[in-house]
Amino acid sequence: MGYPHPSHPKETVVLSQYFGDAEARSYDGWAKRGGYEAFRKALGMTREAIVEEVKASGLRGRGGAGFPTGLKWSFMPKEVTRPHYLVCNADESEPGTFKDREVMRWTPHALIEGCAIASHAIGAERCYIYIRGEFTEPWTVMSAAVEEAYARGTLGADAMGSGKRVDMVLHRGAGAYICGEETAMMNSIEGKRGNPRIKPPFPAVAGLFGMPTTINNVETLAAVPHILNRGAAWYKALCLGNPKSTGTKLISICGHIQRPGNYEVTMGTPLKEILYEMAGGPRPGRTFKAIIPGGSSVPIMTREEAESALFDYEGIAEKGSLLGSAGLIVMDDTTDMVYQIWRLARFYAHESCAQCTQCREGTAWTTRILERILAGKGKQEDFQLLLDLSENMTGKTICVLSDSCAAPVVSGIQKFRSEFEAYIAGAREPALAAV
Amino acid sequence: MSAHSAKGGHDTHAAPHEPVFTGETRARLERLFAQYPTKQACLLPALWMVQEVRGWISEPAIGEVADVLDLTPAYVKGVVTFYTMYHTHPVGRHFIQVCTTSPCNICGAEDVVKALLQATGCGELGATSPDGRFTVIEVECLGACGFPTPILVDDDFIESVTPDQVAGILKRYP
Repeated sequence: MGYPHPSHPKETVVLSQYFGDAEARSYDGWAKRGGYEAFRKALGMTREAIVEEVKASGLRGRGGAGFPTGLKWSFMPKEVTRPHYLVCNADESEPGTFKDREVMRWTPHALIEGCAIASHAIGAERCYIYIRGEFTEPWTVMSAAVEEAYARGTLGADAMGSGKRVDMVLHRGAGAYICGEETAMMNSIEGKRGNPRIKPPFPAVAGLFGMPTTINNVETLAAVPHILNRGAAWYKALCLGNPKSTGTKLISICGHIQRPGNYEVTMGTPLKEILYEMAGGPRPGRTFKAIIPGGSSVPIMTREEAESALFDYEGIAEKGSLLGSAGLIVMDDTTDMVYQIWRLARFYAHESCAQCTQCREGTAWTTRILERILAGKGKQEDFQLLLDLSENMTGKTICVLSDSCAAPVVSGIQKFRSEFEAYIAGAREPALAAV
Repeated sequence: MSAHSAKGGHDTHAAPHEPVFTGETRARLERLFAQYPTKQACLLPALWMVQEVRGWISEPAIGEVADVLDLTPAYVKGVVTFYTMYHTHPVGRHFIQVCTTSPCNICGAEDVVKALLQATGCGELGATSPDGRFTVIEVECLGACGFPTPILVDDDFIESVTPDQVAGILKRYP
């Protein structure tokens, strides 16, 4: 079942099968649907065997970076000489992305099961699930589910009678986009400001509380029980494009589109099918102008680029953007691109943790220059100024927040330059009052 | 709802600080200590508790949190001010957050903001209505972009809000 729409015949429904099915939220409802079988199976397997299975499936991190999940798990020390931790990243804050929210709202036990399996696989006795503060409903649903799982003995000192301890703690964020960055998240759990940390050391060496730590996204972890149940070969076979991108992907679609919502597709599905057949295409009488395919942090695609792309990590990269979190922001021909790029820059300026100069100053100046252009006070030199700033904001900071601000600005100037020109030439009514 | 509800009344000014961490709230905090290897890690949950009980986080409350977690008030204040959901001054009885980031913006979020500011009597973002009932703020991405415009009224997450629905929604929050 899709949500909020019935699933489309071209979807491949795995993780989203029970979206919209309230009964699947309860422990018994989940167990009736095959829930916790994979965890039982995992408890009978060695850590190495689970890691190998996940490696063989080709599963890659669904939070945005696309790092191979099994490989990440294999970085954890083989011997457990001090506490190991799993952190589940449920801080979903990337504009355009709202899939993890649906996983938690409808299938909380799928996430708990995935976390439990991953904890066992990396030798962790405790998992922290970091849920963004604004997600009040997912928090309530997840709290109830964790409580149920403890009451049934699935979690706790003797998980499913295995003699292994698996604890799960929900940790509530408090409004900071940057805490979705894995090292900022660790600081936030430790009771600190959410400033990203310099890597190395990588989390598997010195992570949460200085201990070996693995951080995975909600969707990644929710896919794990399916892989154990149905096998790595089944998962790997879900692939239409490049063999490096396997499995299914939850896609959030929003903006100027007939049927916004979440969809699940096999990796490599043509983006045109997703936009027109599944999500119903543009509003009546409109055409698409721009598509941001991976949450707001990736380069903007033109309609032509998007409509010729295959939707997987390589397919989107080939067209000059990134799959990211697969949050598709669709903009039609009514959209003022300069205004929306300004709005995105403002987002990053607001969310910068302000540790790195390039980001703190760069995001703010980018925003102000765009404001000036929108107020009709722009100059020709502003193009070069924005591009120079963006270059100084890319690849030069502790985390990639400033790169994320530069991506829409640079791609926006490249692909929609005439809209900037119109404001600068005074051919377009100012959209903002002069500052 | 949960231990982390954002609801609750709020302090009047200048009254002597009445400790938050007594009785059941204290017991809840102590149960949390078992879930983290350090007391410091209980800082975000402890701040949520203060906000739940008092509606906002005052200077004396910061001092109390520092005290119960063996931290300094300056450190706690540094953390409080990093996170946008902690209120460092009193807010209206009902706190309204409206998403206006790009995906909602292109679907009409600015009109929802205007309707809310007018119907609540708040007049401007961040201000509290003269009757003390509402405070409205603009926030960055609430993570429900497919359902524009999402708003949070206290702990109630409301999707697909349009300007004409605003008055009806507000009626539910006396």
